[in-house]
Amino acid sequence: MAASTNRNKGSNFELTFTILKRVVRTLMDGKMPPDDTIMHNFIDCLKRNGFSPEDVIKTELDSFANSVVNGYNQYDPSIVSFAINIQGWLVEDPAFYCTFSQNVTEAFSRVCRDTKSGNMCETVILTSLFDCFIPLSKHKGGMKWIVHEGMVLAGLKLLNSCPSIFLEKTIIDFICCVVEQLGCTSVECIPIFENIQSDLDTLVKQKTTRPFAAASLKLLEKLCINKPALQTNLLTSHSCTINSLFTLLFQPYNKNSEAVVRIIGDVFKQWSQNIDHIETNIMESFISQTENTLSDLVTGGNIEQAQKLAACCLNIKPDSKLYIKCCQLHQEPVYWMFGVNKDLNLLSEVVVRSIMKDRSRCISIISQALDSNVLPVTVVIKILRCTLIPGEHIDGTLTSYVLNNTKIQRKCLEYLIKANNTTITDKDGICIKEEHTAPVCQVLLDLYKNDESYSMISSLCGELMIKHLPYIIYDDNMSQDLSDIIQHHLSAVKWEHRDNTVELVGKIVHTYKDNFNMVEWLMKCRLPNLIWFSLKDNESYVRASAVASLFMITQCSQLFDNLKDATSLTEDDVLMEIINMVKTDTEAFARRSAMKFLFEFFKSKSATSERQSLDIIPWVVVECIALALKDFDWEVKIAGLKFVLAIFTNLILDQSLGKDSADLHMVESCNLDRNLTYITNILCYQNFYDILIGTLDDCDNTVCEKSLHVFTEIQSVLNTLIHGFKKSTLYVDESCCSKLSKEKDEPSSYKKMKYCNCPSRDDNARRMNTSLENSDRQLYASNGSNDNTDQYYCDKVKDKDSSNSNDDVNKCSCYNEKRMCNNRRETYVSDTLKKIAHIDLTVYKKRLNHDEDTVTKLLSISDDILSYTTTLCDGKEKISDCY
Amino acid sequence: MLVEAVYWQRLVERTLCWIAVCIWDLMMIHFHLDHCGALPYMSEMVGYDGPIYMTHPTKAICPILLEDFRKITVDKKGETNFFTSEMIKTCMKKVKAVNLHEVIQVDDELEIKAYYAGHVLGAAMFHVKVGQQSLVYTGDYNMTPDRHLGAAWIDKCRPDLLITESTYATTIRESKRCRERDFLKKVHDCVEKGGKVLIPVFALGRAQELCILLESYWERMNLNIPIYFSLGLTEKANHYYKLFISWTSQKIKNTFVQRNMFEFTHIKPFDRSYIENPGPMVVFATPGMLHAGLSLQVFKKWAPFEQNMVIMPGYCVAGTVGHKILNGAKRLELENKQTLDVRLSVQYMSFSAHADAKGIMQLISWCEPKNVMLVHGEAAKMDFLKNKIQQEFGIDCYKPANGETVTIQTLHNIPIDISLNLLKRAASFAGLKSPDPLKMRVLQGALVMRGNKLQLMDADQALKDVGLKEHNLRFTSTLYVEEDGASEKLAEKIYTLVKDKIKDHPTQYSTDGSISVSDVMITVSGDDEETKSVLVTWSHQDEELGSELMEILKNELPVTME
Repeated sequence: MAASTNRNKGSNFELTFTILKRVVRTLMDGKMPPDDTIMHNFIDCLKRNGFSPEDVIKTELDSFANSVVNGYNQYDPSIVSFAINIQGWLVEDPAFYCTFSQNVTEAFSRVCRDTKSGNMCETVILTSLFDCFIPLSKHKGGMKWIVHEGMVLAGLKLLNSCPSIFLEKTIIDFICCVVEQLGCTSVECIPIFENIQSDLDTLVKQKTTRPFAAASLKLLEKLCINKPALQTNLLTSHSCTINSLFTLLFQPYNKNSEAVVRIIGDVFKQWSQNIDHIETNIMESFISQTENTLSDLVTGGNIEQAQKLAACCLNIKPDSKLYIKCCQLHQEPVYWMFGVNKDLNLLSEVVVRSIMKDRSRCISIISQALDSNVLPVTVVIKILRCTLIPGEHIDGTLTSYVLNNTKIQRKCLEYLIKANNTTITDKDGICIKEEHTAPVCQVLLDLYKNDESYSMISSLCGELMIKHLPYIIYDDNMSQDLSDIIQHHLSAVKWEHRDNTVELVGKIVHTYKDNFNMVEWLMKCRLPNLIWFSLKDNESYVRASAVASLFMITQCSQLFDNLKDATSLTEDDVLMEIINMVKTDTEAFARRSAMKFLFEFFKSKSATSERQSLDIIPWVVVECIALALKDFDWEVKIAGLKFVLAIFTNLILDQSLGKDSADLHMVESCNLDRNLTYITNILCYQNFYDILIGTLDDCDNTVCEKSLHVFTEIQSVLNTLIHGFKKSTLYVDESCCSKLSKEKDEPSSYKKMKYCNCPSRDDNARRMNTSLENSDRQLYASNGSNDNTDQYYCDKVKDKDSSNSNDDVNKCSCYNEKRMCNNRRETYVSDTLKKIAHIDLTVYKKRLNHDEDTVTKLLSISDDILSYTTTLCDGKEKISDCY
Repeated sequence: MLVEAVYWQRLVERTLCWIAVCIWDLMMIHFHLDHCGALPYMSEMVGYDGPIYMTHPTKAICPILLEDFRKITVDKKGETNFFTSEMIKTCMKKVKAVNLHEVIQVDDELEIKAYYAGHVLGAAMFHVKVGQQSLVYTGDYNMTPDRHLGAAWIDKCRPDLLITESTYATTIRESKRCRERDFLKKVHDCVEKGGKVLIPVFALGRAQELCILLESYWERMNLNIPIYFSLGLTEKANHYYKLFISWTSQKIKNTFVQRNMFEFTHIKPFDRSYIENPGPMVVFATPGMLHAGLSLQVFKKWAPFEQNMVIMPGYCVAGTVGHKILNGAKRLELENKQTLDVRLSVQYMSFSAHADAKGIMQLISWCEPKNVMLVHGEAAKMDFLKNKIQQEFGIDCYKPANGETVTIQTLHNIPIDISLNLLKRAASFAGLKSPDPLKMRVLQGALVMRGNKLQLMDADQALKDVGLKEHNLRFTSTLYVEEDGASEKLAEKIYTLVKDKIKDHPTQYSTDGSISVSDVMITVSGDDEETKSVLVTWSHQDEELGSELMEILKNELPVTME
């Protein structure tokens, strides 16, 4: 299908064939670019190009791949690997498979033979080979060939002594694909499971372990995880494998046991989700085996391993014996260590005491228990407290282990956050109940107090604190403490702490802006002021967060008023500060946040304001948007364009900035006038239009793309506007823009229309007149005056002749001047709108699509390969050297 | 700079492998994207939640480069699942800054230490120690100081493994002075003829080096032709160079009080409107591969004029305009089927700051590793260097391919505490001779495990501590010797023989006719005419000595039966 579309490209496609032939011949000569990234890009591009089998033959890619693979030992391994990758592509698509499969498999025969005999051990080639088998095995014929050639067995053999993790991964993927295609009970798959079993037997006997999981275990894991059918087969027909898996758990903890735990855990998970897929007696036997293993591990003192196994069994029914045992296994050592309960049922005291002598074992056991989510909240609070101050009745050694331990603190906080989010639970102790709130809050405050703590801890602390804030501020001491801590953190040395705190304040305001007590507390703590001061922070990240938090404050009228009162600022001052940030901040991150503030601020304002939304955006903001469109940072430019789009589309359609859709027909015609005026005024403001047009040619593609979108939308809205006019009862014989452009050619048309007898024309002209009047008034307002009509005329009169006291004469003269002014403006406005309406966006669209043109891209990459290979013989210092 | 999505995927893949293979925590070697590009992906998208270590300059500069990387990757499309600015910030909050030579104890066993690496501002090599095993990971480093940075340095830390970059595995690079002279001459010649010089650079690193070079040259030659650098990244980069002055070269540090070398008087910020200005000028513009942004914009305007020049000071990825013109392209196809004639002079000057072959060998001789692993280089060149290292230093050298596993054998010593009594006793045996460090001495005692600590103590003391009775185990062997004469005569012969052969142990001949060599007893019995029996008895502690004595007696005496 894609081929037919490409056929239309004609000469360019022919050129591609010629250049590809050159590439192929260069590679055949043994020249290969040193950077293999380009070859990967080349294949990706070929795949996307929509070649037909005939095209491939024309380019000679197939014959190149066949001859290189056939005579693989005469070529550099990277070229052979590339050729095999090409063959992989040639057998992937069913249409290609029919044409090329025979040649491909014939070419493979030699390399396969050598692989089986062990004569070929180049990992790059082997990886590509097995990678190529994956698409091949998806075809019936291909799978038949693979099995016939014995490549499954060859893969298994290689897997046992795999030197490369990439090769290992590829072989595992290939074998999984084979099992998936043929079914796990098929005859062809028997050797796979036999091989796994034999490898597990060897692993069980091994005394030493490697830092990686054994390949056979990885294979088994990949085969079993999330595959209930295979798990059933494993439990019913491969009991020896299951036994070996459990035996492996008795080895010192390593990656093998991690893999075993994952496999066992998934069996329980699948079983808990779909209890019918395994027969009850088989599952009972599996559960009993797990229980026995747990008991044996505990008896042997290997508590960590037992805990890991227990953690993966917590998916089963909560009332089962195994579940209770697993919970006990996590709870008992922790209870004993922290003096919650010194009675031990499952574990022996000797074992626990021996654990206590080893710091890393202790930390590991506590962390495991916290991860398992079976500890009661009170215990977790106690543990968290012990990380802050030495706990009473707690062994000194344990105190030294856990004191200031970031890992334990983090686990505790994560646990509490999880518990906090749980409202209804059938597991006792997992959710934070009312009686827990006080101790939780106290420990959180103590933890948050520490300004030396790791940033992640203070962040988690803040997250949890927000949930309990109503309680904290209810308590005078805690409330004062929190206020002091926040103030202290806002001037912390580490920017991370300042930033976390500013973010926290923002979140508090956002969450509780409707809560009277909370707002009172925030004001009492002077937090809005402090956020205001954070706008001047040295670190841009903090400034950006402060801007975001300030926006939250502006959304709460009480807080915003409080800020204005306390700092003697007006709303305009606040806006000016943000605008200055867009203009002068050296960091893009802060400027982006400032632009977002402005956008969100006016969006929310237009949604809540009773006044017409177009009146609320001052000209200084328009100026700021113009600056943003010229920013060095692409995202600031994007934010500027987003603002423009919102103004132009939503305001034209008389919607608040936030609304996505608008029904023009619902908009009253007088609003349309005003909105049209508003657009033109913005466009005419200084050189805004030129700047906006400039973004279509921006050096950043994303900006061009966004700009194109903006212009498309504006054109569409203008068309909609025109359409709206036509649909209305008013008479409009031309589009608004062409009318305006016509006015440019006939300067008196406005006047003619004004006095035209035709009522519809008169209406239209009056509307235009109002529109232009508004435009003038807007410009006037932007110069600092308000837009009150009376004031406007009065000022005009004063400007003209302040000594003239005759109001009527003045008014008349003012109207005349206004008309002249309107005529002047008309020309410019009509020009601008005409320009926008007639911009040919297809040029820009083409430019953006150029990058996506796969043929061009392929040509470009081919050129690069050729240029690489021609510079290879150069004796000078290589360009590729200089990374 | 990484411009392709595929490259990005591979980068992540490689990083993930690296993490999976050996690292418990992340150490960012320097701010270049081939080292830190996947960091936010790791920490914010994959879920790595361990600590991240960086030097202070790297922590400051890294977000700028990551932002740049993000922009380019997102801008080039195809990459939607990419980290955001917010993620970069969150990731940077997790970073712990380290000072040079500061030993960071990550946990009970793991410690790390950073060393100065040159290459770019804040670049560091890390010495990682886990228990007794240690490795040094160099990242990119430079063994020769340049205009703005010093040379890499490491102490004799004798790691089990040194993982070193080998970009210039076979190259001995010419003096940088020559390259600098050449660069200045080319720039000067061009501007003198009224041409414009474009130097595409990345914000940090070479830009500062070349700015210093041009600044001092302009001052020396009293030139007033404008030099501009594009505002934005470079400005901020210069700020960081000023801030982290202690990380720069000795010369800059020395002259810092009089004049900060990064406060340029001849180099002014650039504005897009200057592109069309007539007359000569020099412009530093980002990015360095001419694939987007201001540098490409300037290039498009200046490329058709012969008198202009573009100097590429670094590597360009395939597919970029930089790469194309370096490979001699004279006509470039631009968007919308437009073409651009490249008539300006294209110059390539490598200011790459990597150690050359000599530098790599120097680093090896400094830190004396037990094994070396070469990474980051071309296979054939690495082979050559590998052989050279093996020959010169007599140590194993590896050059694994990506994803290949290497097993390296290391010695693992188990440290134990020794009781003072035991040491005193051992010293008393050795007499007044001072210990010879080259000669191993056997020390007998009972090995006691307390928690996870081992202690070698006097056996009597150990037994007393645990409340056990002593049971002596002695080995006894009798040799039958055909020797005429009295048994005393044979005993004397044995005494002389032992005294002659075993010098390290005190040998005594008792009045009852028995000979003692340390704790080994030799007793001779038998009548004058009969075969004599020589009874040798020793405790299991003296197994070595006992066996040695038996060998001597068997070899030197006419033994008939054992």
